Amino acid sequence: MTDPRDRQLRVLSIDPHPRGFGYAVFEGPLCLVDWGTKDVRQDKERVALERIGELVRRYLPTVIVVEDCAHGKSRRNARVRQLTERILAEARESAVEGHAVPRAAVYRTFAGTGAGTKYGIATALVRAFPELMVRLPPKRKPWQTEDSRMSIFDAVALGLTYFRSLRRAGTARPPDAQLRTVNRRP
Amino acid sequence: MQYDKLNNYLRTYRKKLGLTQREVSFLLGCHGGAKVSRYERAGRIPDLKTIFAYEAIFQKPARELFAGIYDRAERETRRRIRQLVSRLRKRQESPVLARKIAGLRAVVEGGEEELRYAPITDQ
Repeated sequence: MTDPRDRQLRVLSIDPHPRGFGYAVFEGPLCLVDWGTKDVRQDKERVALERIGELVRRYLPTVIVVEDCAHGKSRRNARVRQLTERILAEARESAVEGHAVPRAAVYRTFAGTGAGTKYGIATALVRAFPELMVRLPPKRKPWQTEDSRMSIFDAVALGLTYFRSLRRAGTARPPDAQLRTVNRRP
Repeated sequence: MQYDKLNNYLRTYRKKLGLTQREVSFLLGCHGGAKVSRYERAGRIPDLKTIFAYEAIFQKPARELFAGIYDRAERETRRRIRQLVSRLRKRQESPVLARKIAGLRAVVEGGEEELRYAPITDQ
């Protein structure tokens, strides 16, 4: 059952990757409104922020969720860390609530499905949202680089982790204590 | 904070079916995906025939496909109904007027109540 409080939130979750970013838009945890990747090749930070701005203008989210790169175990590179901070800063300027979710919280959310890897989480998400199946890349071999489509699944997982943290907290606003809130509304 | 519905959910339903904009444009009988893109971005409102074609493709009523537009139209219409009811109340009472007001109030108060038509008898 969907918690009625969840339906009050339109969440845009963003997962930057080396060649752009993946995004997902939710209206509650069961309603995936849009998802995809945006390729950014040159002047990455500026263009990525422009594209994110376009998404914000189109979907008018109430919350933006990104990965918490400041978390101790995050292995994101410096550019992605900086971009994530910029996204949260831009969210603050646009009066949109921003949340940073640590990777560990995402794994905890999906622990019940038996998914212990990124690919495991992606296949669990395909079971929940069959429409994502066409975007699921083949399982990565150890010598291959990660497919950019995986960032869609990372973004969806971030969004669902955010909703789960709300439910655990039992209120519509204050999320999991582990989540870093940048701009909470009063 | 409650969000307003998006103008339309055409992109969501298209992606749920795994269709491309070009494929939808073929189904709608248009040339190329540019028009479909404009519909999805709410840069252009489709004509009635296209709206019915969308209903047929996605098997969803227009009020769900164009939820934001529907919500706004409904709110504005309810507001105008209230205005009309208050204007009608100023007129001289008659059975026809009473029925009209009852019908309009039923619409404003949720629209759940079925409007019953009884024969009009001259008093």
